[in-house]
Amino acid sequence: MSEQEDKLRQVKIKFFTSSEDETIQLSSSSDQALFVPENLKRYGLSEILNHLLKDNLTSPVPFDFLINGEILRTSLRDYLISKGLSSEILLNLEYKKAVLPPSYLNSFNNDDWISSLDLQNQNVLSGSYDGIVRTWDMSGNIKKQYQGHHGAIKAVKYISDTRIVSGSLDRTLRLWKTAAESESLEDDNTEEGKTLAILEGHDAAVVSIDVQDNRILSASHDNSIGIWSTNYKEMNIVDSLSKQNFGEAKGSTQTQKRRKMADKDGSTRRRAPLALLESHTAPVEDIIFDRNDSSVAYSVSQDHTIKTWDLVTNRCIDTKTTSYSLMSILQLPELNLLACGSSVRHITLHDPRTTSKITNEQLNGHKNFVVSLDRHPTNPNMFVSASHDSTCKIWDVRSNKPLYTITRENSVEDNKVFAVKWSESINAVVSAGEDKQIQFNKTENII
Amino acid sequence: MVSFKSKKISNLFKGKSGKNDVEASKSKKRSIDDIEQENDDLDEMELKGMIDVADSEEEEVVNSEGDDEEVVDEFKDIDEAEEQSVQESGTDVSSIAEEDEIKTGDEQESESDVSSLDSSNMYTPATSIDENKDKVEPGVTKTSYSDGSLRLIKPEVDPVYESDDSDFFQPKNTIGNIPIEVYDEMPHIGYDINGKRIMRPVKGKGGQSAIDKLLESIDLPAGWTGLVDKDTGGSLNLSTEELELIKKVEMAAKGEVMDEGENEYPDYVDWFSRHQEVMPLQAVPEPKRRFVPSKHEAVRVMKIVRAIREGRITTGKKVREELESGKKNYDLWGDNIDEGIDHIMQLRAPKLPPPTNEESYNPPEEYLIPDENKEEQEEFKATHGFLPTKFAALRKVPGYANTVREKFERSLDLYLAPRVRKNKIQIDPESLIPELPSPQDLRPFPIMTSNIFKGHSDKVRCLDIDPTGEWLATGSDDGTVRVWEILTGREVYKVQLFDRSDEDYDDSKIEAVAWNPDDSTGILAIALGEQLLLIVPPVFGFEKENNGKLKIENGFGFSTFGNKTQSSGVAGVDSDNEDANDQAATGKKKAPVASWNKPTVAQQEKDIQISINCHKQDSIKKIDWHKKGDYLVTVQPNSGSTAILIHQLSKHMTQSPFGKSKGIIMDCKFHPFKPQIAIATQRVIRVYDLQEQALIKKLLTGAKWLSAIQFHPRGGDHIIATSFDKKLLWHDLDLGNLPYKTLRYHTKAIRQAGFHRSLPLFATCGDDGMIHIFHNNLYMNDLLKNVLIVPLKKLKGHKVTHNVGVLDLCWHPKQPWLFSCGADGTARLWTA
Repeated sequence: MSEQEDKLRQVKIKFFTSSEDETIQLSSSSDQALFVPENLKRYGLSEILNHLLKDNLTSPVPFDFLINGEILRTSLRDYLISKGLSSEILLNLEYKKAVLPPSYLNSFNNDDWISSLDLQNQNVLSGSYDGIVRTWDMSGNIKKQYQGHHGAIKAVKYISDTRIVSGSLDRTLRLWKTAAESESLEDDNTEEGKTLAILEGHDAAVVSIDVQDNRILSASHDNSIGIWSTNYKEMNIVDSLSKQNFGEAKGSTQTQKRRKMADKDGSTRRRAPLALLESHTAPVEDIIFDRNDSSVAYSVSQDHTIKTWDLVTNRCIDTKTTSYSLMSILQLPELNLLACGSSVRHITLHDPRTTSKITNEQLNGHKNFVVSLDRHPTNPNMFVSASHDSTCKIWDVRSNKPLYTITRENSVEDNKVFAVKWSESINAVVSAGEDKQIQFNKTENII
Repeated sequence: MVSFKSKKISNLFKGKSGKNDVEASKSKKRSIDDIEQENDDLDEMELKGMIDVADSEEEEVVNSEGDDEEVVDEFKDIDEAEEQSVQESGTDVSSIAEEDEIKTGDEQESESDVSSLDSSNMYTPATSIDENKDKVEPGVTKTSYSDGSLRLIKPEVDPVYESDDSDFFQPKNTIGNIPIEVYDEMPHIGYDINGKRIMRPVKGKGGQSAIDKLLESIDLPAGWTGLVDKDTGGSLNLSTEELELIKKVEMAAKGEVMDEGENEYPDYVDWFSRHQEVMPLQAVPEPKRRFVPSKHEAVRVMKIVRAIREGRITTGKKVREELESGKKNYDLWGDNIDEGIDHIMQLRAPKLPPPTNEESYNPPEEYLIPDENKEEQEEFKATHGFLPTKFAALRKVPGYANTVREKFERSLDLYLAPRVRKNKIQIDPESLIPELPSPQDLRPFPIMTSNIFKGHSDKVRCLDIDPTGEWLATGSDDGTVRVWEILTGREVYKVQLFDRSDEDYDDSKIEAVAWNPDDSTGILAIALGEQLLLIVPPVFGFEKENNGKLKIENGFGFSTFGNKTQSSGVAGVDSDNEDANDQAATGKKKAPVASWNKPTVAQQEKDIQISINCHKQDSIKKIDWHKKGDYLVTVQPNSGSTAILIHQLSKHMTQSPFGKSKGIIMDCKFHPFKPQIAIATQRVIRVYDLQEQALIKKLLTGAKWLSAIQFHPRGGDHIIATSFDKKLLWHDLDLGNLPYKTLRYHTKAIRQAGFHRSLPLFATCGDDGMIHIFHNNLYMNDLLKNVLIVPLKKLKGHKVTHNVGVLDLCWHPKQPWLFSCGADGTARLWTA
């Protein structure tokens, strides 16, 4: 086939969109089937569409195209060949505004590894391996520090603007109260947060926390999940260490010494969990509430299972067994999917409603543990993942390859990413990890 | 054949007329004498004879037609002639009589007939004579006796005439043994008794014309012998009677007697001919088998058919096709291996190597050895037996002197050298490799580094994972023991046990770390020089740490009490005798093998709960906890009888269970569930029963220097041992003393091996910086099957520094994850 002929080969297409955005809606006059050369790719199609929409758009907008819910990554011809379709059929091309590569925005420096992140409004909350929870403003200043944990922080979460919960390697959770903002703004020094209550009950590190509707869920390496209340008053009081029923004989000599030190926290309230859910046989790695139903939770564990919990009866109602340890979980409520990051480098999508089929799809691309996942604030199909391979990747569930990869900017090595969040307010992917940096990558174009 | 026959015939003649022959030979002798005597008269005699013959012929013709009297007259004449010849030569009467009767063959016959007739007449009985008294027979002289009666005086009987031998009348050829051919040139064929020539019968003229000769040669007369009658010069023919006689004699010689008139060779009558007869020859009905197809033939036909199908027999068509396709040409230069092999045991003579360039009559220049290089020439000649020589043309090549010798030697080789058919085994080497399952089907197993635990500044010598699988402890040459969070690689605890810059530093190293298997304690045992330290790292939380510390401290009560009471029994049962000797020799009370010391303040700051001092100046190399977490065994390789010490945590008690040194102890391990202990010396592994205090098994590893041993955690009947000479040995205790499998995968010394606690995996690491992962299936349900070992993966990552690679490894208690540490100062987590 000569090149001339190649160019001439055309395929009939029709554009449509499911977007609500008025500016990119095609007018009825231009909403017709078109013949375009077969060898067009996304860019060419985008040019044609921009041409059609030139009345509405002030500046060119890049578009992505989907055929039957699948993102077009090749030329039309290659698509037809791969699907075994005739070039004489009409292709319905759905278009949407393209996701542009995220661009590096900024990095905040921390003193130690950052294990966890949370976002609220314009604030960033970070938990660090030095045992301090910090809040940052958008200019990279530490607004507040919350000191009190005896071990590295593994999980942090905003409960509200004034309440924070953190989980640590020291086997406890702490409820923190943020002071009124007005005080801190004038103060140059960072302010210490105040512990409202220490939540005790786990025997091993608390590695994940989720908060919804006055309930806190904590995943721990002692194979259990704790249910706590955001209001300490709802929980039972635990005797502090000094008041515990230890006779002198029962504590070892060194423990007695330690006990005196621990008495510093003696005045702090100690609370027991509302319930401990024990069904996993290996450390629980991540826990989330169902977004639509706060009486349902999903947890993943190193024992290869995804468990669905009914929080009313505190029972495990479903167990999905995979063949690899799972490290993180994310719910995509619009799609009824659970995305799970695994220790074998991929992300699997599960439908929690089905019991028979275990794996829907695998998203491959990472090269190490996938330890953190966050969804796009608005786009139901997109989410971001963080991995020990020092990258974050942006995914669209309609494609099993990553859309974009975010690498670490200011580090040489030792750069596992431990946490990732997708901020709606600042349109950025926030990630943090072993390189002691909170990195912002602008994703405005994506949205 | 002809000559033989003629001889036979001549013999027969002799047999028949032997007497005559004697006489004939006598007469021949005599005649030869005569010839010599009367040589002078020879010509005259010939002439005379000739004339005589002519005369007598005429007379005989007359005689045959004449009557008896004339015959008598003739006899008279003969008598007269006899008298004359007697007068003339004075020889024998008989010979005289013969002399007159030289006649042709024809005449002889007629004469003999006449004579026989005569003789019959002569033998008439006397009665007839009496009857014919008057009739006076010829030759009978009528006289009268004295009484006057008639007396007939009959003539004397000539015995010659009495004989019925017809040969008598033949003229005797007296040439004796002189071959008749001698006379070929002559007109005569010999001489008769009287020296007269016997003339050659007429040939070529008249009677014996060329045509006659031809006819004779075509139509052989009856009795023809092809011989020449010596006497007559004619052809010697046998008469019918003679032939009959010969036949009879032959039959008699064979022992057969034939009746007269019986036909010896009756004519063959072909009764069962191809011609269809009108009437059947036999009345027997045709048998059924004539109508039934023959099974035997069917079998034979099928054999042929099968042979054709299989190509063993080529049909004409195929042969023709082959010929047409050009196969008719014999491949002169081809390697005709199959040529001439027609028997399964026939072995072809080995081929001689083809001639080389040096052996050519016109070798390339580079093969020629110039005359200057005498030594080289000699050397070549010594090894090859010839010198490469160049000739201008093939025809100038001289004859090879050694041809015969070489051929002979070759033949001798072929003849004397026994040849054996060696069947090459036609096996695909791939098929000899045991069929192992694909590693893909045996997942999960570690394949890649997930985490690198960085922080140590020197070799990481040892590591262990705590029983919950959360914390990894590593001990390094930089003097620290660190505890790591396994998933993130975060160091959560570090203790500096010694400092190299310290003056007191005595070269002791942290050789081993081991977590207490009881997961409610969190006790970490560390071997530092000859000290065994138990620490509780503050990573577990109050309750667990307190529990662990209490466990350690609880023993102190026992310690003070126990040390006193057990001071003599500390060393254990086995060592009693030795102890007694020691005590006797030194006269002192034996010091305990180890002392349990409370930590000093400095040690307390390092979270050390207790230090156990083993009193031999030898560093502890290996530690192994008993699975219940109360007993702990330490190995000090060079401490002789106290190389192995068993410490009891709950009682702060140390025992030395072995009295005598078994050599340098390399490793020591508790059995996973039986009260047994395995001790590895440099070459041998011994398994002891701790309750019975007895040796159960002695395993001969075959390695020169073992480095570590491991019990299989589930099937306790299997031990793997690694050695510094690169071997990995799998011992099945049920299968005897020798290793079930010896694997050599590492290229350098193997340092450590480890079984996964629950998954069918084990791994080895070595100084080549490699970690090898193996699958093992014990077939616990099927006792008949042997252990299956499948190499799965070679993990490469640790750097080799100062010729030391990976020093230690351990498996995660639940996950298929492997931890390793090496001389590069890092530990690694390998995950699936």
